[in-house]
Amino acid sequence: MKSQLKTLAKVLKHSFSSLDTVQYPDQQPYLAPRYRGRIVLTRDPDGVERCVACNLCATVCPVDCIALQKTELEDGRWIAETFDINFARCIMCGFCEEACPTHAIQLTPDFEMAEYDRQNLLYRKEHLLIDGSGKYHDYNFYQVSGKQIAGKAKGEADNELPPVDIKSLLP
Amino acid sequence: MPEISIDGKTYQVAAGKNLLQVCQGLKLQLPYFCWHPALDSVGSCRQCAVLMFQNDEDTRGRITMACMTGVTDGQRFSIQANSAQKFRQLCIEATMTGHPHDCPVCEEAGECHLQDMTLISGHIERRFQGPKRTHKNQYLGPFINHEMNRCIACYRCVRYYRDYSGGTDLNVFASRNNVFFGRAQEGVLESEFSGNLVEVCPTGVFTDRTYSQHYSRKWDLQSAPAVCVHCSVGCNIFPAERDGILRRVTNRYHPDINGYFLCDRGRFGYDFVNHGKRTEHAWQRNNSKQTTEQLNAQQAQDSLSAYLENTEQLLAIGSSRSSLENNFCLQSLVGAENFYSDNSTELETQLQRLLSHYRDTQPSSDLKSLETSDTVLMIGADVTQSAPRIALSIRQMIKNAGIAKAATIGVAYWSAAEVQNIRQDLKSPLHIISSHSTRLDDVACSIDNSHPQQQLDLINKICSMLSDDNPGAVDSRPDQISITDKATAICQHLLQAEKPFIVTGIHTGQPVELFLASLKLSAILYRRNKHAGLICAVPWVNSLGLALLNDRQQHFDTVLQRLEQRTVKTLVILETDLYRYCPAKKMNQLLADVANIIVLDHLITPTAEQADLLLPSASFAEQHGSWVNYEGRAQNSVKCFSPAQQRRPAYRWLTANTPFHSIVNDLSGIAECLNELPSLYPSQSADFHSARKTVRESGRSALHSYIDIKDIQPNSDPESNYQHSQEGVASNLDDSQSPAYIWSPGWNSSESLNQFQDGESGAIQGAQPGLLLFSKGQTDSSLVTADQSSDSIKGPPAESKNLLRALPYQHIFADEELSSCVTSISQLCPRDTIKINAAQASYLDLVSGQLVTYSFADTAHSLGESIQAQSTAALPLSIDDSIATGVVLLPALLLQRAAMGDDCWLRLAVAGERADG
Repeated sequence: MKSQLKTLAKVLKHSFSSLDTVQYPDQQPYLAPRYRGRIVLTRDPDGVERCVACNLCATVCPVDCIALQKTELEDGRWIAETFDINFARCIMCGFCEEACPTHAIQLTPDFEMAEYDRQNLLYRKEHLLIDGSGKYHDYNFYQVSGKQIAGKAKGEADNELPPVDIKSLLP
Repeated sequence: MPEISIDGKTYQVAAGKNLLQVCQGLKLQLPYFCWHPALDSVGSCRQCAVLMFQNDEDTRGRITMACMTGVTDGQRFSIQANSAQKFRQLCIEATMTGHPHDCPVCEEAGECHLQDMTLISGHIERRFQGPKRTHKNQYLGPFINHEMNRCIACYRCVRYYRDYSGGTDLNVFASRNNVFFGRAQEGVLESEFSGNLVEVCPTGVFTDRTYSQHYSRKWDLQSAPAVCVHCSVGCNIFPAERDGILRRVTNRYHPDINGYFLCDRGRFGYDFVNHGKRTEHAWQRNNSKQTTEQLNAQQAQDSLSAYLENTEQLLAIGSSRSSLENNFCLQSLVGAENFYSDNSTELETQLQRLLSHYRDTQPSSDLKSLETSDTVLMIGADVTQSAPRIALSIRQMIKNAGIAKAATIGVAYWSAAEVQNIRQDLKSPLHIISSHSTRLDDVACSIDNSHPQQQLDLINKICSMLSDDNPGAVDSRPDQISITDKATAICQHLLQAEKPFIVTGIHTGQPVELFLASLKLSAILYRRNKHAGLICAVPWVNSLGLALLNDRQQHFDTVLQRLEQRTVKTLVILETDLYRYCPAKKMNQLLADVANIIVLDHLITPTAEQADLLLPSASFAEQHGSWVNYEGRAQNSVKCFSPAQQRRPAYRWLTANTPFHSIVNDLSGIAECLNELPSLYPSQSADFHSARKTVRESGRSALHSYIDIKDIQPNSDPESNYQHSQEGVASNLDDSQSPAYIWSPGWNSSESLNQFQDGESGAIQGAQPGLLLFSKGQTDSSLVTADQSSDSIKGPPAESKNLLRALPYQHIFADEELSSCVTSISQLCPRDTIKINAAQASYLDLVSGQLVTYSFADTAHSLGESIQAQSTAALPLSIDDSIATGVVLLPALLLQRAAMGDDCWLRLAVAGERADG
């Protein structure tokens, strides 16, 4: 008897508390930057695509919804020729973001991706690529990698010695 | 058999091996870098450290390198001991201090031996904060990318390139942790086996440049056990495909054929499968409307049967580069009397002679036995250019004298540096009889570059010396004396040897008499010594298989005659380009008179352009098929991926979709030696099939979403026990049939092979070794009849001045049809030149670089005149003093096209002048 009254009181109390639900879509809820929604491809601080087409995101993806093909730019950078994400399959798990060694692929707080035509849920590279650096502003993969690209010769990356002079006899 | 104990477990192991080999055989996880099963041990990387105990009381033990420790009875080791593990971890940590942060942009990542070994050893965090050393890279040609930053200085590359494959232009420079592996100057790597650096290098210093152009990670590739189609050796390969593109080819270990290594033609010649000029649709020419119409599959099939309804004046040409099944289906379709090979009379004769030699006189030999032989006589063939893998085996044979010497003082064969030190300049004898220099000259003990007639004299001399111990009267003519001396020297080596080998070859333009004499010599040698072997390179991948089918010996010269007589109304051409065997102008004339030309091919060759009905067939990677290699070994090649568009295997076009297994069954009935062929194709098992794709394949639900976002069902393969998907048994779990790819947990690189081998250096478990068709060579019929060879080579047609014997010079990248259309290969084709020696040139008043024309002397051929009219092309002259006097060398393809017959004599003249003697 006592517990039943207690329950009733608790339920009644909720009638006077403020609402947790919001009038979506008139009212937009706050979503933290780390919220896992629509996937984007970002650029490094120089404005060049960060993705080097290493394929780790595609490999780690539990639903196999990422497919890409590597190509190379004139300047020696690896880059994705095609980059497809099938959002009809994507479960927004964020594994791809964790796996990405260049901070290229990132999840955003946007989740409003409904479509009338399923085919439109395929996002290709032009749909995924954004102009900014996303959540990680300073990271520049080629600045820490040993690979030579135009504008960054051997020995010019962070924490590198100048190229070995193989003709030197000095110890 | 020594009994040793590792981590408390007792094992019976083979004597004479080192501990690392033993651990590999036992499938124990012990890391290593510098050791390689083919390169043996030098103990430089310190990665295979184990703890070795002095005796049963010893509890501390001492660190020793497994690869440098021979096993003896009663030894006690520990791999798991803390001190050994710590040592290995520290070693790899030191190795990794200079390794760049490159894995995402490295082609090796995902199949990197360094990644695997780092994980096995337990080094997971970088403590060293200092700067990394860097190196400049070099351009090494169209096949190999160079990224020296990644080097861990294991020395495998130079040990392979210099010590194993005999290259000279890759070396190690500088000192201590600055060592640099590359060329003295940038440039294309000279070795024909440079591609193996990709697999030998444990990390990403040397990577496959052609693969990088359409790169895909290893786990995304779909593979199948296949056979290389670029020469007659029949090396085993794994072609690897993703999304309809053949991405690369890697080695598939076969202990008796290719072992661990391929040649560059085989490794990089695969791109013809993706070629821009490949056939994808069936086309029919409509002569009345002057149009070409695209047909659907059913229309094409109907059109083919309509053309073949009338078997009168029907002629079909089989192909030396197509599988046994395809040729057989064509032969059964048109009838054996209408089926011809694409070989000239001379080639056909030689191939048939070789077949009967294998059948009746001497069983064939494989490359493993060549590698373990101790004397080789190479006659009239530059095998480095025609069947390169044979040359690599000859180079291993050279080392046997040194290994034997080391054994006499108790040094094991696997201790590479010691053996090399003991060997110094000691070589097992290789004698070369040729008309010009070969790529094996640097390791030869004697080289005799002479005119074919003198070569024949020499071989006959050796034959007579070997057949009767009393050489008879000594000929006192001066040229005969030198021949006798040479023959004596060669004879001595052949008689002293425990396992003497004759290496020869069949190719266009070679004097038939010379080949027959080589066979005779081999037969005589075999009669004396049952361990003697014969290796004979044949022109193309399935030349021997086609010769086996074509027992009526109907050859291409008859085809030309019949075309000239205009007695052909319907011509069916299977996967061969007639323009390679006849001058273009003449072929155009001949084909113009044929009413119906039906071509089945996977490339749009000049012949395919002439077709009235063009049916797109499948390349080797898109079909099942059997191939007969130079030793008469029938090997099955499994389809790697489903052909695109309307492409389908030729056997399916020709039989209107008869099941593959029933074709093989019919094929096995035509000759006794093929009886067991169906055993290569096990019938469908009801259980799980093997998967062609790895469990880790990515992008399955996105790769084809641009076509349709709904999943597309993978193709099925009802003809084999392999699936075109991830479903089925992973390769490392199924030892009942050859794995579709090499991968094992923890072993992602090609080194994971050791997890699949039967013991150390054994065959891949479950892999079929192929079917030796002539293994039961009848050893009793040792009679060598006189009519098999003659004493002299056909002379020039008439006694006319300045006639030179034309012989072909072959080139690894220029001669083979399929590989030569690949961009990276064709970049390395040499410029066509005419080659003679300096004395000859000055006698003819010609200088190097001058444009000269050539014209063939009128031979007995009825086609002689038209050829003479043709041969006016001017080529630059190049001087090569190794060429025998009286001999002129032409590019092999040019000779094949211009001159029919083996007795081609020609005259040279300065371009612009009339070529008459």
